[in-house]
Amino acid sequence: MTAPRIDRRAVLKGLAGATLALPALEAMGEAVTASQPRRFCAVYTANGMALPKPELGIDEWHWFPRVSHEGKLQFGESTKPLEPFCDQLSFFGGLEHANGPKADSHICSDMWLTGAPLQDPKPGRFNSVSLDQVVAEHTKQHCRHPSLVLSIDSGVGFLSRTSTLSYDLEGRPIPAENSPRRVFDRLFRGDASAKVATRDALGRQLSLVDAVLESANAFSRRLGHTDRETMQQYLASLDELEARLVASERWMETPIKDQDRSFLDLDASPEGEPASYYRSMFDLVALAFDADLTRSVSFMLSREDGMGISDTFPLKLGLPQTHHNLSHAGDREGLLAFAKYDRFLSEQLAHFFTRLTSFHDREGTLLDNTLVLYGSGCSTTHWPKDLPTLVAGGLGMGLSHGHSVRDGEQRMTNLYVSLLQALGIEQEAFADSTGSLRGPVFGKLA
Amino acid sequence: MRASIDVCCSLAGLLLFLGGVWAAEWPSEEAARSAFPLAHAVVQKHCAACHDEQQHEGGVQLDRIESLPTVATRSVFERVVRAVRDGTMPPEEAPPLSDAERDGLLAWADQALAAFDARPVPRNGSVRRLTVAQYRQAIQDLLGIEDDVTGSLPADAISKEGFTNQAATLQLSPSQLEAYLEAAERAVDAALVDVTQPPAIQRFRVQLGRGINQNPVADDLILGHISKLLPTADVLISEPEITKPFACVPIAMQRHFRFIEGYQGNDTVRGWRDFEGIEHAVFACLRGSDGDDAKDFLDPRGRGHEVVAGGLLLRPSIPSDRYLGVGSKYGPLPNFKVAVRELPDEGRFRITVRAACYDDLLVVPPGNMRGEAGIGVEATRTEEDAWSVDVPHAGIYLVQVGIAGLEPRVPQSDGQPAANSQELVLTIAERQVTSRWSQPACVVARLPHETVTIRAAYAGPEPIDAITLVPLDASHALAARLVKMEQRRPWLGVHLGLRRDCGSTLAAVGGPQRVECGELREYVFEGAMANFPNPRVEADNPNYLAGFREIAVRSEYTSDRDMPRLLVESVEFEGPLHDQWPPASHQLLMQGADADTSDPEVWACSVLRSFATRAFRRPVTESELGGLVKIWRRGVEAGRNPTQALRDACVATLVSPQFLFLVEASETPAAEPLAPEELAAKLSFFLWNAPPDAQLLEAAAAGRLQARLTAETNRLLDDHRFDACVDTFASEWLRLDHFDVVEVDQTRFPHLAKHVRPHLRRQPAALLGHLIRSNAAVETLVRSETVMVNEVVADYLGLEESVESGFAFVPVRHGREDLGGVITLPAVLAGLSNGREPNPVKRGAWLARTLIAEPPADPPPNVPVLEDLSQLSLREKLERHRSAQGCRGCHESIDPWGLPFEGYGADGRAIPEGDAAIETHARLPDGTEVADFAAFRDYLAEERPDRVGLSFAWHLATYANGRRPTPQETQWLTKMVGDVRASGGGLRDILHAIVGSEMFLTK
Repeated sequence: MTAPRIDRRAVLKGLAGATLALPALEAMGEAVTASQPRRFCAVYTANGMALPKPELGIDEWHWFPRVSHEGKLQFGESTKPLEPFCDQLSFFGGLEHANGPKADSHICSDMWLTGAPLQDPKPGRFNSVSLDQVVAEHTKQHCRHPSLVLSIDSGVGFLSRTSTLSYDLEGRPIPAENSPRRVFDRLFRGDASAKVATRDALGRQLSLVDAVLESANAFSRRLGHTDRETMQQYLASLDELEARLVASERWMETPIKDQDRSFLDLDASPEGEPASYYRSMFDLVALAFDADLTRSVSFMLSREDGMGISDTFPLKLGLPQTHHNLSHAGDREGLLAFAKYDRFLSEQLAHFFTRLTSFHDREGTLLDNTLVLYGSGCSTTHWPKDLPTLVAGGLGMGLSHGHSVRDGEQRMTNLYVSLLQALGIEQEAFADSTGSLRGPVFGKLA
Repeated sequence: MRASIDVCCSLAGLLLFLGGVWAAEWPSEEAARSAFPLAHAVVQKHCAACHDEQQHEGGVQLDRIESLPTVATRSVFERVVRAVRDGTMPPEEAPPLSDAERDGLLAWADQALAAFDARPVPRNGSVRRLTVAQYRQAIQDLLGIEDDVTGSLPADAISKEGFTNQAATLQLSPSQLEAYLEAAERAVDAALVDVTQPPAIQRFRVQLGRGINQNPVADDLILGHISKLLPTADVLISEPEITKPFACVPIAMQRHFRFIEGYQGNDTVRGWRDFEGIEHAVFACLRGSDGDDAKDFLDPRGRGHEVVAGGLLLRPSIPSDRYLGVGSKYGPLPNFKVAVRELPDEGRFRITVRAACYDDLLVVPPGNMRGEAGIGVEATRTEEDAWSVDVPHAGIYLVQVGIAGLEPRVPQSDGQPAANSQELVLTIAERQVTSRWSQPACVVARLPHETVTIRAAYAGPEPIDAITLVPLDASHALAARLVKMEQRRPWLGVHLGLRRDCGSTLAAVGGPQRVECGELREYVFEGAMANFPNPRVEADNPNYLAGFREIAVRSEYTSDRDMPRLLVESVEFEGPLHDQWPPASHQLLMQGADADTSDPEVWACSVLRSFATRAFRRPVTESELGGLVKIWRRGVEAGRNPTQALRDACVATLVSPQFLFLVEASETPAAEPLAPEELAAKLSFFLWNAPPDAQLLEAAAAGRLQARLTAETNRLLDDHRFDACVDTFASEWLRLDHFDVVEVDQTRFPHLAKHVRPHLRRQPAALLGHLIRSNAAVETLVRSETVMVNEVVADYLGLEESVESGFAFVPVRHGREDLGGVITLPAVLAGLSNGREPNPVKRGAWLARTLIAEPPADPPPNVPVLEDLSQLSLREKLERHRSAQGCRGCHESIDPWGLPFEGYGADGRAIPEGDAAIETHARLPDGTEVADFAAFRDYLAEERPDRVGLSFAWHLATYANGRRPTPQETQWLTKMVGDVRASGGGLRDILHAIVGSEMFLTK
């Protein structure tokens, strides 16, 4: 065992306990970047949005906003609640997944964050990795939870109308959580028995890595004149792996940032009042970001094809039909009702943005350092083109906002590449991307 | 604009430069030094102003250039030589070089490069990471498991030469090491069991047959959208008793369920409902293949599936792109699957199918309007739907069914029966077939000399008025077809995946098996659950459709040949599968255990010594063992029992460099002989892509390996595991990765269907394996009288009449001008296209690099932009491009190698004559004119066989050693290939020579 490594390990260990707060750990520099955290949150609603045809005479209920002569966004009725954030968000039209029209249109939520060819997957695979999990892969070493996967319905649902947006590196669906209390307990309290198990597993891995490192160093010394480059790469990687494990172990002992969480309504549930449920979940996301517990979140607000409890939310709000049935409307009255539900969702999103702007990062607000992707896997129901898409936040990452972008038909996955790049993840491709989107929103990215 | 991007992307992907590597002579460094002052003056005068420390235009700095290159500056020398030679430098706006300046500069640079390349290269051993494929195999061999734990490992990088096993490109990152740690934990957990607990085993059987279930469930079963289930009376589900020579616990499958949604197809249903019975857990499903005539009778020879008393009859499942022209969401037809709610998550499993080849009847295709006149025997009606007939003599008969008032019907243009044709179910001597009546000539049958009962049921309103048997002479076309069909056997395939509404997730469980006639027999398919998708639904998921998996059972399709049907009597599942307890993997891990000791630490030490020795492919040292035992001891101290405590020590072994790397330790920069164990590992990872087996390691330990090298090499070559080497080498040498990604235009080339591609992809390895094993001459790489095909590839190449091997590749004499050698393989030629048109530049660069070892230079950094050429064909665009200044120099040595291939389309097949005037003439770089492809092939085989042989040997040596040969080694290879050819040897001899060479045997 080499001396410097023992020292660093001892220092890491020595820091354990409540004496040092997180920023001090960040100053260690090894496992945590010194730069401002960048976060990602994907929010999905099923069945598309109301996009009434002009002849119905209710253009003001079209989800896509119009743009004034001066280039200012003119919010319609269904997005009006978002108007206060007009300089913090932009709309994208004309986006689609190239595989969307080829696959069963009921499963567009499965594809939304992955772009995978679900109609013809790789043998033995279900899907491919989702955008939030790519983000998590790059941010997990900086925070306690690689990602938070939330949905209106817990678990993974039925595998053609999945109740999760997230798929791991091998394309397997990641079960979602839907109970504010369970999410809170996991994030802020830590299940005692799970904690013991995690600590035990980490301890075993650490002692294992320790022993391998010792033996590998001895082995490396015995290699004589042999080319050392690969061995050095190995030892450096093992060092880094050990540092990551130490960091994970340290998280177990590091107190979570002190926050005011009194506004949380943990009794909210999908069976109760829709607005309070969505707001509680969004509040939890904001608190998790503020405490840097995770930097990647996906949240499925509703499921495709009338699955699950969210389908009944419009009824609870006094609208005449369930969400999926509303989305099939072609007439004026039906579309008006559907658009009113869009407005309800805009209100919830506005609440989320308000919450995010109320927290302050080292530089700017939480929203400035968070990318929120909001949209649906179809434009109107079962039409997987022109996907309604909104990107908010990220001014601190160099995004410019207040735009309505529509540049012919573009691949959704190109937008995803731009989002990754804005998050500082140097990846030139995602799924079937053919490039990245620049334009007014991403044009100033480095 | 487009053209230039197209061309350059393709070039960048393909080309590599070797510069002077192939030069014949190696001048001394002295010559380069003495030529340097003049050249230096030229550089200072013409180049240094832009290429200095401040500006280094184009990333090139020349003001401090030295007389000889270093490892770091060698590529700069290359670029200078190329730019000056091509005339791209100095640029147009700068003063040009005089001829003397130019010659002096180039003379020095050539000499300096050659002198550099001639220097002795220090060896210093090597530390080379296992590739992902090697790691997977090593883990599986070592632990005796089938689980593939490499899913989260990143793919290996591809070296400039096309290989993934090169020391220089096999990198390691922290995330990768993290993935290795997780993989090792998964693998050891799959191998080690808790022996104190008897294993729990699930077993169920689905029996099929008309009316087999006397007490079918009363419920109206629905399994999702377009639910197509076999009638409940025809399906019998049971959980047979499990008998094992050891104690085990049967897993009783759940029979009571409660769901709130998904139980009426995919309709949203709310309200909890209870369900009773195993029929709600296991379904016999035909979703996608049943319901309308077009799908039931996709095969004009009759219904794709039908249930008879003895089971389910299946015709070959026709891939969807074959019948739709595009990939479908619903898979092949027929599409029989057993959908299962509950399967184990881990361990091995066994699927047993009781099946037989049906003694089948041949349905006469529509359009055989009147059948056969001639002397028939009329059957006598004995019942409403039954006839009796005395067969005059054993033989082949055409069975004609006349229907009152119906004239023969003209089939549709696609060969299908006329649209208004109705179903006719014929049972002749206990053999049933359902087809659509188009004409009296219905079925061809072989009948015995006895009284035969015929049952016939016609779905239309008209009565059957006569059934006649017409004897067919053996020479009759229909009789010949029946005889051919009778000689064939269906291929039974089993697949496992998730049930979804859209897109099949099925993956094959092993390869298809040939099913024999006569008695029903059991066909066994085994795999590891971890290698198939897992729905991962939570136990309390409230959706009826959640978490289903599917076991697909098919007669696998190769081509449209007449095939007897597959009779499936039952499908049985067992898992986790254990033939012994503790399982083989556990016993393998414990194999070195000292049975006599009562000291747990001595015991653990004995187990770990044996395990680490096998893992490290050499005896473990005492200090290495000490480290592992320490981990074990810590586990025991933490309260784990001695066996459980082995787990972390085994995981540590699997993330150790001694396991992850092929280590050749060296004491000096000079070449040293490999240690015996190092040689065993190198040989085995070369020829099997897998760790050495016990026999190799024993030979190494006994010091006999060197002496037995030829014999051991032959043993490895003749073993089936050599296929792994050929698969990798063929695919990387011939750059089949291009074929993997080329998107072929399906409207132009519908026959290059998705189900055909994997077979075309395997064909090059099959051919190369055959050529090497049979020690074929070097020339056969470019010109051969045989090709390797299976039925799918034969069908693709128009050779379907010449092969009856199912999915197995066999050598076939093709007798054709357009086939033979590796240069006409569709996977190669289609990969070197843009999916619509052939690309002579890609093909030319490929041939120059791969087959004659004259690799072209890299494309220059600033390929000039061409004007808009969107109206031109690819060939015309390329012509414009290569005639542009700055491009011509390179393309004159690339394109001529590709032009003779212009007769092959983007699908890799010869374009039928008369399609258009195709220009295949080329003037090769050495001045030879070849008129067409045949002349070109003869030129390669007769004028350049030494280059072809060298290219094979150079790439094989690169693959074998995990690094490029040095210039001196290349010289040796050149001479060796000449010697092998002179003595009448072939490819196998070349492989032996490489294994016996200094470059292979030293480090």
